Amino acid sequence: MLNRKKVINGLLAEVGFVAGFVGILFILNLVVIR
Amino acid sequence: MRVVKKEFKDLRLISHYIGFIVICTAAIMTIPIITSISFGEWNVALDFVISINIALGTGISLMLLGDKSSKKFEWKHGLIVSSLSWVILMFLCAVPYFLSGKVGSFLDACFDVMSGFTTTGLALTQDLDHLSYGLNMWRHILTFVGGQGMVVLALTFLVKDTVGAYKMYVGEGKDIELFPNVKSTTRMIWIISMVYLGIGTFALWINGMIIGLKPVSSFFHGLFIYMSAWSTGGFAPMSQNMLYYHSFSYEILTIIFFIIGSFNFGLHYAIWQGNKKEIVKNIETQSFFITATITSVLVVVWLSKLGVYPNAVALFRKGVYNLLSAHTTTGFANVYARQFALEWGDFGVLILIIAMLIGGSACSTAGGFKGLRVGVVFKGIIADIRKSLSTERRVKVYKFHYMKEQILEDGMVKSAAFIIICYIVMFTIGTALGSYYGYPLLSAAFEAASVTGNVGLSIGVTSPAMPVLLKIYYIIAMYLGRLEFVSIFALIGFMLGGVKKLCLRYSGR
Repeated sequence: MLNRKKVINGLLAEVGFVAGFVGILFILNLVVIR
Repeated sequence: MRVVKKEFKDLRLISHYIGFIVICTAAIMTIPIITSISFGEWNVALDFVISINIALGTGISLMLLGDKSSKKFEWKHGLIVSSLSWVILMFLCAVPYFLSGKVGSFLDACFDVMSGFTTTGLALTQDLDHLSYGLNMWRHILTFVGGQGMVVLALTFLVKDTVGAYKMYVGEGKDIELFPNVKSTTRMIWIISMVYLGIGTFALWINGMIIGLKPVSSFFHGLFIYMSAWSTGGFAPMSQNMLYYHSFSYEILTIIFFIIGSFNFGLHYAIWQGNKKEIVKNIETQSFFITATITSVLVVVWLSKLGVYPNAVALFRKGVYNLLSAHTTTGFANVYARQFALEWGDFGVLILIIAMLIGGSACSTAGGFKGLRVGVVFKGIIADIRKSLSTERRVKVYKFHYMKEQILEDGMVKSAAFIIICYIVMFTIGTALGSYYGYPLLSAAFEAASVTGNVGLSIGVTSPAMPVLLKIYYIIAMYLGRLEFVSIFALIGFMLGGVKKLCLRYSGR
């Protein structure tokens, strides 16, 4: 049903993607207020 | 006579399944009982023992009165079981709140339970800072279970799949099929939630100790905050909500968890199966990332123009954090409620209202219109414009990606637009009612958007002292918003239909 390796990769992908999105918003925040 | 007997058959069928859902939900009261006993909170444990007995008694009675073989399970039964079980559970789960003496009235207790179930996060419980571990556990379990759904919880306990399982599952506002049978689908939803619960609680526990909380306290704060973040709930163990922690790292962790929590369970499953591209191809996540970016930029530009926050980090922590919390319908806040009205200005509040109404993903723990509907309606409008400008006679097919390539049909656009209109009507009535009771229009609109979208951010309207009618309306709005109207319309139709048939029978026609 679920492959442990794929689950760990999936978890990392989700967390990484969302963290990246939050990072982009932070950079945008810096750019916008300049 | 035949009509009455037929109605009773319907009622007996519905009664059986509601009884089953009530018993399953009552069983989770054992968790706060164990928590209370562990901390020596004997009075709280006794409150829960009384409550569990009432709930189990009700559930067993409903099952004994019911008969699952009295009638064939139809779509209307599934919708009615889902919608009615939420109402019955609201009353039963409010008992421990009421017995604790921490709420002003039974209505306030029902308000808090519905707020938890629907993952809204508004609270009328008083003296939150001195709440027992047991009651705090109950509040957060309600919001965690509510995020997945009470019906989803009950279906997880099914020994074998029943005919009506899928119909009840859809009635609770979920339609994603991870497996051909509902039992496996609901179990997978719980597996995904529990894996993230372990990871999230651990991360927040460690972070809590780093910022100075004691290990046991840090664990429970981490657990409670995680439960709220994942279910996009907004409850917190302290009255200051996220402001209590004064920690950038705690805020970053919660942002990540509540954004992931606002994703569709189908998306989590697809990524866990190795299909990582789904996150960028999916119409819902595209819609969310676009609207979240636009609203975040607008809030930052506006707040920097007002000069409320001194630097970029403060702007991000206050502006973007609260905006994302609103957009994912979480409701965590790291500013005081009145600061929205006094410091954010009309435009800032307006952006938050729009973000709250748009909401997160379908078949997730989030509320609002949902990114899927926004995306479908937007694509539908674009398709219509293209069709009207096109000189070609051939029919062009428009597609969108949602777990798989799907053809954009007029029916989809219409049903998405219908639900959006329902949300807007609820929001408008809530705004009108708030302003009728003397609240400023923008404050009334903010709170109405918060309850309709199951968000939980407050501008100061929600309080134990607010008018009774407003409390009742907010309960109804949270309930309708969470179940996405259709199953409640079925319940109302069923009740009106039953009354009409009885009237016809007694009038002799």
